[in-house]
Amino acid sequence: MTSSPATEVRDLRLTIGGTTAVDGLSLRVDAGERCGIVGPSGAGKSFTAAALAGLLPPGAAATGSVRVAGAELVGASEQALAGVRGREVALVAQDSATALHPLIDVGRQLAGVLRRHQGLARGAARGRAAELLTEVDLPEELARARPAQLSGGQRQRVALAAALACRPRLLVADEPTAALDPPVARALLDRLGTALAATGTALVMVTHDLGVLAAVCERVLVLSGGRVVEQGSVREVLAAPEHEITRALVEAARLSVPEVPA
Amino acid sequence: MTFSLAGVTRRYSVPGDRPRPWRRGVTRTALDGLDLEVPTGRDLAIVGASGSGKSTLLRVLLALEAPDAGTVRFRGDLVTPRAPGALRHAVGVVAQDPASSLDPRLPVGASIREPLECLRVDGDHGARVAQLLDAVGLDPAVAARRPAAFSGGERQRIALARALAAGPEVLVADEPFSAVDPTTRARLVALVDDLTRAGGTQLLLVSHDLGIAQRLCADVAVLDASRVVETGPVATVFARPSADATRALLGAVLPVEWG
Repeated sequence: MTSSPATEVRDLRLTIGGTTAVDGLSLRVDAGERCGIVGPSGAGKSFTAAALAGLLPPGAAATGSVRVAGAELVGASEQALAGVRGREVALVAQDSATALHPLIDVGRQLAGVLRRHQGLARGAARGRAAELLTEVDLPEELARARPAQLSGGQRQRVALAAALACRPRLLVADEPTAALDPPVARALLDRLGTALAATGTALVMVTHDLGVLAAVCERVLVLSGGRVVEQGSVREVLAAPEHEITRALVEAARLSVPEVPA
Repeated sequence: MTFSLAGVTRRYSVPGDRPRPWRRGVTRTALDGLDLEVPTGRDLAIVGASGSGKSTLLRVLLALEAPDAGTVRFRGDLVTPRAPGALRHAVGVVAQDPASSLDPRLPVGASIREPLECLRVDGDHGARVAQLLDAVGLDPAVAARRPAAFSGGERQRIALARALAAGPEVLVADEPFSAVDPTTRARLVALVDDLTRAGGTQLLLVSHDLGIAQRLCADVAVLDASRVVETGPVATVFARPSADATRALLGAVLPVEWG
């Protein structure tokens, strides 16, 4: 572990088609730290995640600073971004069915990541890909399966394996469990937690679900209208939310927890 | 009994692998000799993991598909897709994704009016549409707009207005809250609760969310591997689950507390 932060964002402003999506966001996440971003729809959570992952859509204009592992992403060339993505920062999206190639088996896709970013030879990459699958509790045989032959939970594990393949400094996860049913989501989050601990990778996770936040993150940013309206430790913010947006989120989240008499 | 299902089996042929579409598909059993009784006036939540058969159960129960074996009865009468009997008049449906249930080309007022016309409901349809929009918390003036002009939560309110338009005795809702953010979800839950109570409408809810199932329904049926494995009052089932599937679902609930 190094003392430099995994990511440091200063006064980030994002405009998309004349609309301000993120309005002056600052954030620092150290190595191994896990930070959640929550907020209502349209708060700017996913744009923040995209900016951190160096994956802003073409029409987006960014000002301010986003540094990942020391590299500045705002204003960086596509070539410079390509050197950071995959190696220093990786993204796990809500539905990896769109992130994985539908016709290529997942073993080859994982091997492709390793060959591209780490320059491994074909055989070595294939072997390492099989290891990566076992690290996310998938059987090696699944290397020969195409994404459509996997369940949603298995696909998210493959996406996680691909994201962590090069041991990035920062993992950005945008609603990684939103498309999964609760038992599968819980298993993925457990896996995510152990994988991050093993690699010392920092996490920024966007989620709607405060239960997911509490299971994974120690720190939280609450976004509304592109601004941070509340931040702090997950424990304190959930126990005593101050902003009305946060209070509404906590109240809404409690609705999903059944009351089971002892 | 509102619904009574006995020995219902439903199989699907799943096509072969993508690169070899000529290969014969495999048969998957979505419902396997399922029995379920839904007593009149008792709101029922149907819960279960993905792939346990929840959506197929709803399609068979709504007589949108015929089971391969077994019978579906609505208030004692056998119902089939060709002879749904009183079912179509008595049941309103809200789907998970309002984008797929509202016609994108129609003004939402026309979508809400449709069941009134199809079922030849008496009275002033325009006034009824305005009243329904008001009941779901929208300005009646929005009736002229198309679905694209609304947020996901607003579209789900419109879908709810449409489902309740003809004054159904039963509201069937398939994951109606899963595509919206939690704050919007909380408002929709309260709305469904108010409207079903006010109208004396029986609710049949399919949900992943055990907390919401408990808030809205008196009874729960747990599906696992194409069968109902446990059923009873929500409080009893959640406090003393007898099936492994129920325990797994309860164990997967993430508390909103750190540590």
